[in-house]
This record gives sequence, C-alpha cells and structure tokens, in this order.
Amino acid sequence: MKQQHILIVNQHAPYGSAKAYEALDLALAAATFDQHVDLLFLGAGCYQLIQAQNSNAIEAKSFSKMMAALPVYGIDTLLYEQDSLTKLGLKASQLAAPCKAVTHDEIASLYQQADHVFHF
Amino acid sequence: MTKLFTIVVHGGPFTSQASYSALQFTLACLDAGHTVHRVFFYQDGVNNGNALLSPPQDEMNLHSQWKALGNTYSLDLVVCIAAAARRGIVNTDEAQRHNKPNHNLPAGFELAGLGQLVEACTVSDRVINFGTSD
Repeated sequence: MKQQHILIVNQHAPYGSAKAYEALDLALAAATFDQHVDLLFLGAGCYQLIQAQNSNAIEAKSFSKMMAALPVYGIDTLLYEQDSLTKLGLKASQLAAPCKAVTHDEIASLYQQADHVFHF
Repeated sequence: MTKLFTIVVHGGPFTSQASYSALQFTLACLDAGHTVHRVFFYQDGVNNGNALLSPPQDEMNLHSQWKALGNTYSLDLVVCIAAAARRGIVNTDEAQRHNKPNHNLPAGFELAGLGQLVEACTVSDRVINFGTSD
C-alpha cells in the first residue's frame, strides 16, 4: 500500500460525542496500514490531551489511556496549537506525554504536506 | 482528465445537509465522467445505511437514494463496521453475531473496517469529506 501523509485535525472535547474517539480510531487504522499520520489538536480539541482525565463518573472509557497507546502504532508526536491551549487556560505540563506546540506557520505547512486531511 | 474520487460521509441523514450534499457530489462526479472508487460512511453517516428510515412519503429518503445510486453505478458503498455497530446499524451477519433479533443494513451496503478508508486514501486522487464542520 502506497504511503500517504494523513493529517487528522481534532477540534472537539474528548467526551459528549464520538468525534474524538472515532478520530482516534481512524488514526490507529491509518497507522496500522503504515501511513504517515499527524494528529493536530485545535481549540476544544486540546482537552483531549489532558493527562488527568477521569471518565468514571460518566461511565466512558478514559481517553488518555487510549492516547497513551499511540506510540505503539508509530504515532509519536501529538501537535497542538499554543494559542488554543492558552485560551483554554491549560499549561503544557498538564498534557499527556508526547505533545508538541506548533505555530500557525507550522500548521500551514502540515496542511500543505498532507495528501489527505480529516477534520473531527 | 478524469480523476478517481472517494467520498466520505460523516453526517447523518436529515440531521445535517452533509448526506444530501455528498449524494449530489457523487452524482456530479459520475456525470462529469470521473470514477468513484468508494463511498465510505463514517460517524453518524452510517445511518444512511438504515433501511428502516421512514420519512413522510412526500419527502426524500436518503437511504433509498444511496441504494439506488449504488445499484445504478455499481458503487462500492462501505459502512464502517465499528461506527455502525455502535449506532445499531447491522446486516444479517452482524445481527446474528451480536445476537440481535433484526437487521437493518440491506444488500448493496457493505460493512467493513477503517482499512477500507485508508486503502481508498492510498489509491484515490481526491478524498472528499462531508459533514465534519459542526
């Protein structure tokens, strides 16, 4: 299978809809088939990256545990927009393991490099 | 020059414009002489496969329209199996496997994994998504 550069952009919080979960499902499937996957988190999507998530009260699977499995599939870096994080009042130290802030210019080049883009 | 398209439907029928726009786009692709490699239904888009959709008779039935379009052009209409099972969209095999009394995904729609979407990405010139903006 030809390797493509697939960019998955996450703009929704982890619970309350299946968006975050199904975006992650697609990321894992693409990585399983040896595709180059970039995960970008914008706006409320940055909530997905929080380390200390406790979803027991809403009887949902913890998202941070699923995210922790990403390196196993070769997705090592999770990219987020710094402005989004600041607006949400979050600090980089609150995020789960391998996250990296990207500038607007870097986001623009992510879109340019991608063969296919999926928004969730 | 003709291109190979894959259409991805993320929005549910009637709850958003996405499904109808996707249907019209698919038809436009075919009319223009392009090839549609696959239509992949993901997220709430899997509801387009539900044969039990029963809108009033003077309103459009998106399920029937997809089915007819698929039949006319021998389209590969693929419904994501995981997203579908979660939303109660099952064919005869899946109904049996999950021990359900009924099924609602008829022949003409295929249940398959996300690998089919990934494969479509690797071979298509364009992958067009509908219903991801809300």
